[in-house]
Amino acid sequence: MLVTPSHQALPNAVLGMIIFVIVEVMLFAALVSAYLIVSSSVATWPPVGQPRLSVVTTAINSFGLLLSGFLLFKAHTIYHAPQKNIRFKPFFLSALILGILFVVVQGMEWVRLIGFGLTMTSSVFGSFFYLIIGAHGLHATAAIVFLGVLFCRFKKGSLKFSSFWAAEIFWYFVVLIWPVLYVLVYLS
Amino acid sequence: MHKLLIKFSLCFFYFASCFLLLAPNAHACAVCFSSTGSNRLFYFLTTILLTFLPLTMIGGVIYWIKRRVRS
Repeated sequence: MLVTPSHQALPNAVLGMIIFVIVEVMLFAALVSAYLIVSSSVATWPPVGQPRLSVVTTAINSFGLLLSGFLLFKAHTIYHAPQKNIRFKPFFLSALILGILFVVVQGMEWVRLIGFGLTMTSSVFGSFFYLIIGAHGLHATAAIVFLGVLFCRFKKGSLKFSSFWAAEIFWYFVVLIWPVLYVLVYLS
Repeated sequence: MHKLLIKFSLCFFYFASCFLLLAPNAHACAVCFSSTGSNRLFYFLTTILLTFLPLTMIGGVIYWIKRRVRS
């Protein structure tokens, strides 16, 4: 019996993830808009007396996040290559580890900032900082969990390309929206 | 019964709409009435961003899918 292959232009998982990412981009656009309007309403921004953010440490962390996006892209290109099992794993694992490092370093920075007095209730700046950067951190954590689950499936040999592609799109969203947030929040 | 329901719904709608004439102006537009000189520009820019960003993204995705279908 002949089985005709599917002629879908795009796997359902990928289309669903693209729609989800569009929704999340609008969420961040709304947060950024509110931040821009509030920050432009006051004479001094960030407000006087608030701890200054660690720009350099976060810049290095941002580089690690961008590198993880690149490594995941390389893993995608290798997926259909002949020696996929040998070359795919290092790129996938490196991207995952760099993503985990990013979230951990951001968490450590948060603990430091709370110790210095920047909290959600200390000022409008603090509220926006934790809201926007926290929303990004939440998305990054969810993406890392998703990638981790897929890595386990890869180890078992049951990874589907559509699932990997969907997770990849979500990770690209997390990686590419970060420079915008960094410039607006950290470099304001 | 169906026609009666439609007639009743239309009558209720016209009656309820009359209350719109009684309401005073709310002056609730954030851009027009809450903006100051310093943030009016950002109000406009962010309005434009939030208007065109979803249209651009959805249009881009549709264009990309159409190209994949053709290829």
